[in-house]
Amino acid sequence: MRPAHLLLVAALFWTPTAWGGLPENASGVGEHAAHWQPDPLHEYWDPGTYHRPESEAVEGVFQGEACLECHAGVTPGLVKDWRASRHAQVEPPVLCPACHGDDHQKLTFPTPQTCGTCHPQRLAQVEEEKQYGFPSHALAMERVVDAKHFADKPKAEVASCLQCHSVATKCDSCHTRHRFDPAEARRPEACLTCHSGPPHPDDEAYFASAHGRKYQKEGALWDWSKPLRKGNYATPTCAYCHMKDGNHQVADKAVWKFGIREINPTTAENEIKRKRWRETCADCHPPEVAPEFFRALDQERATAWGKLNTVERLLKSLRGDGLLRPSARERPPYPMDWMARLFPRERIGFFEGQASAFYNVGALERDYFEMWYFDNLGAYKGMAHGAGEMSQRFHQRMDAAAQSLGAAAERLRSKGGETSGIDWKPLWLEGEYTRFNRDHN
Amino acid sequence: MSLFPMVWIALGILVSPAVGFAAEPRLESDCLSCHRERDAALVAAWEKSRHHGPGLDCRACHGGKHDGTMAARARRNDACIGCHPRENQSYALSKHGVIVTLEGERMDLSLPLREGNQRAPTCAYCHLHDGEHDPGAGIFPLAPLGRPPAPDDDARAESRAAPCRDCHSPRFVGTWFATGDRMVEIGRMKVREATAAVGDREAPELRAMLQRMGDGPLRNVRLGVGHQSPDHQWWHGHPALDGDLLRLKSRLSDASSRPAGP
Amino acid sequence: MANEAIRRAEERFVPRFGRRDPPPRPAMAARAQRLMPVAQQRSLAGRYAWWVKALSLTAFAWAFLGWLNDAWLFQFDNPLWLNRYTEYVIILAFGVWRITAEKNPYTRRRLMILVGNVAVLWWLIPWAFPFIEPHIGYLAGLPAFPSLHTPGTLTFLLVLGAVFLFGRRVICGWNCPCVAVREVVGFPFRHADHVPRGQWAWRLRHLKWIWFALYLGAMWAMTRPSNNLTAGYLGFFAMVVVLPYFVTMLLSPWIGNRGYCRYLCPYGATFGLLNKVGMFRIDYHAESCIQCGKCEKVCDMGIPVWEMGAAHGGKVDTTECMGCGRCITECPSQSLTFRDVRHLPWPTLRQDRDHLLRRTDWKLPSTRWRAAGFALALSAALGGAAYYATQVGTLGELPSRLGALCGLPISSW
Repeated sequence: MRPAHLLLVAALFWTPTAWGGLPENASGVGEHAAHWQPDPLHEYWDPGTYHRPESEAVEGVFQGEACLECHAGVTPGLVKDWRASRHAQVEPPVLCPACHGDDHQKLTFPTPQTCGTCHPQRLAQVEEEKQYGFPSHALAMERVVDAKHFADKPKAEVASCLQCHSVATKCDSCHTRHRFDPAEARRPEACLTCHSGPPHPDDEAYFASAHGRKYQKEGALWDWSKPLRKGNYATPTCAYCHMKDGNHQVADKAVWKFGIREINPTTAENEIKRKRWRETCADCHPPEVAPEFFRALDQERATAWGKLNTVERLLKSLRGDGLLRPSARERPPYPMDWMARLFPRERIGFFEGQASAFYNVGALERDYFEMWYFDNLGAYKGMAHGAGEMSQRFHQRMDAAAQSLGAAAERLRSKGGETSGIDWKPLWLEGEYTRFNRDHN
Repeated sequence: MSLFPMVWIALGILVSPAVGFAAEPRLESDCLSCHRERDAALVAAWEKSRHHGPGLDCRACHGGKHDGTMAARARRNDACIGCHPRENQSYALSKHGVIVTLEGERMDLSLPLREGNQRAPTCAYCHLHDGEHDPGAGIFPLAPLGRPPAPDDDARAESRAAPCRDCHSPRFVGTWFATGDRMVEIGRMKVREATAAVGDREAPELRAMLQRMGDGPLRNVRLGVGHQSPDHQWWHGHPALDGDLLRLKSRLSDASSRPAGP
Repeated sequence: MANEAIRRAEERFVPRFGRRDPPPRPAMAARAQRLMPVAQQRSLAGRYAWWVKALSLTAFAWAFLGWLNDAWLFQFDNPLWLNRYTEYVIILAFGVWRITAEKNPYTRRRLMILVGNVAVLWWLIPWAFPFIEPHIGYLAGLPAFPSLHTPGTLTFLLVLGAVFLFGRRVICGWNCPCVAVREVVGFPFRHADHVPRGQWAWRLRHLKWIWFALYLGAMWAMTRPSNNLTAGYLGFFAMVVVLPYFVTMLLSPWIGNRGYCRYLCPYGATFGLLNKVGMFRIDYHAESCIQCGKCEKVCDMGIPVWEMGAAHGGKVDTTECMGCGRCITECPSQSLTFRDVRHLPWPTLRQDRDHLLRRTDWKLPSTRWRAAGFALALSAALGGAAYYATQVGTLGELPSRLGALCGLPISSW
């Protein structure tokens, strides 16, 4: 590393304190709280936990429209946005202090609880969702801070995670500030900032489906101020099915749990959830359509898990023979995982926590991670949203991954664990990022 | 020769900007012949910029119809994404991009690109903020890849934050960029770790992997930070870098990739 | 022989209890030299032929396999013959055998109610008409009635209240599939050959407090929204409850048919505590007792009934009793009586053998009314669930759904 780099790193990792903000010794939250300190940006994604009021800016207590006078000059965009919102048009208007407080030294950021003072029904629906466990909007922030890789990686790197997982701690993920327009949140694009990308290509799946194609053709012309009820829309959007009748509780129909683990779709619990799906589909389709659809989906899932389980068994047999390298002793451990320190083990599959094991592992494990987390979920999302061709494509990718993993395993076995003779330790434990990652949680 | 036609021609030239040209301007010089004088600063900025080059003239962004909508046309994303498809991918998934997709038709793009006149920023709002015509001048959100710190970094940091502050608090903007810079730097660390691991080996395959890391995921991180696309910071960015890094290391330590020889 | 019996009775005339100076216990029944005909058996179990035991063990294994398929294997689309309800169907099938073979009328009546409850409340309703009952706390998604074990659900709270008033028997004796499967399928293992008795077997009962502590942890976890810790803990808890649950079935030849209830059941421990602090106990009347020791021999939970009653001034108040009533109906001198909340409004009530047996006398109109009431209540529950199912789905789907649930190709007809 050149001196210039050192200088740059030093400059970048010095935390600016001019605006107050999070103190450097702020502590983490959740399961691994003792092992990490939040990035300064964290206060904007989880204001309920981390927001610190500005300490060096304007002083004074401001009521009514007083805020607008300055802010029309300082941040004109948000004032214009608010003026166009329903908050500005109702009588009496919902002014800045309603959400932010009136003391400029003690400003607050609204959390769902703040919004819930006027929208209690919506808040109750969000809270109710917590009963369903993961995957969940309402538990998204807990999920992210409790993830091992979040606690382990440098916080500036995983600050990217917070942007989507803040859906649990802020309402403006979907109703963007300061317009907070329900019509905006009803449209599929509102979901796609987060519901896109390799593990959850919901955008690709929806737009490839008959529903999505119809939306793309006609959607711009519809009246989006209408609630998400039967007869109001010619084709469903994400929210129409997943937030039926505007129910902000999106988990009560979640059967396959995002596709990341194998489940039994025919338990009584899932029968109940499927009943809710059948009602939803019956808004437009004859009653026999939904059960047919579930049958096809369950069949697709059974096929996918057949493939995944085969590869999982293969990797576990390699692990048993000590052929997976770098082995758990040769790779950087999670600092908070004392079990892993006592019994180091390569994590394979959902139940062993492979969801966090995608960076401090060998290439074979990473290949399986991608097969499981990217290809399998693509196949699931495609099938579940009615994009069969897309699902087929991802199944082909799973087949290819399974084949190449099988070939790699055979190569490994025939070589009997022989290596290139390079020294493993510095390669896997001592690189610039690896060191930095070890020192910065 | 009568003076009359001359007078008419002169009158026509004088009046025509007010009523608008019926005909399309034919050459770049057609625009510049007037606008070099009327918008000297704009033209000068444009001539400095990377947009000043062969095959690129005013009409590339502003279109060919001198009908009073030329400014608004260049403010639309359509003016940019033809040449910048990859940048558009990261932008289109961001909240800014989503709002523009949904409400773009209702935004008044005839208003100047400042003071939050539009609900969400189009490309031009930030990169050509307030009529700036040199997108590289100050409004280039993040330091270019692999460049050591330069003396004018503070000024750049200040000017890159200006468009954001029209709508977001200065403190948020400052924190955002500080974290974003760190996020990109961490990405660079991964590439540097990979480069150091390869060392001076002359393996074209490994060199190609290094090249891909820089062009692919690392650039995605930077685009993701600049355009506020979580997906590009994360799934197309950091974990992808991790994957490339560990695959490269696996190549180095795996017997099957040992260079041929005794 | 008679003199011998009198001498032994006199020896035990002053009962002493526990560690102070344990009295000699009634001698074990001498092992019968040949199989006791089932027809002669009342509460003291007869010995059964090897193939009956093999059949029972096969049924246990099948129930286990059904649960495994429901939780892990997901084969054959979870039809009725291989899912979590398989166990309840087996209970129904073996229940028919047990009810017809049972010679103790009170136990027969209890088995009828137990098997009826399991068939309707645990099997038919959640399986054919699944719905979610009201709950507090964060463990949702369970269908009705099995959430009996889930803190925070309505049923759970109702059951706790009923246990306080009437004793652990309302759930363990009359409405518990865990007891039912052991009592009907595991009946061949009730014989003294299989049931461990004696001091050590009695002391080992404290083992269940480990599971109770784990259950307290689960109760706490269920008040929290799911995270890695709580979800992981609940998964762990489910495993340490369910695996012993099924494994002890297969171990029945060595630990008897109540091995699980006596030593490992966290729910039994919870209800047992309420049993002790609540209004239920067995009263022992020393003045009429002839100290035959039969009560201790018939108790599947291994409670030293006579010993405890004698040592504690006539009160047998223990966490263990699940209220099968065998000690009372077998008591030749009517020296044991139940006591519960009914004694508050009706202090002169004496729930002795005659009282319990009167409930089984079909000639009495009150017995017939009770039976009709029970059948009506179960039908109402079933009908209510069916009606509720029409509210959230269509009853027209039911035939094809039942076909699918049973693993029959009816849906494609």
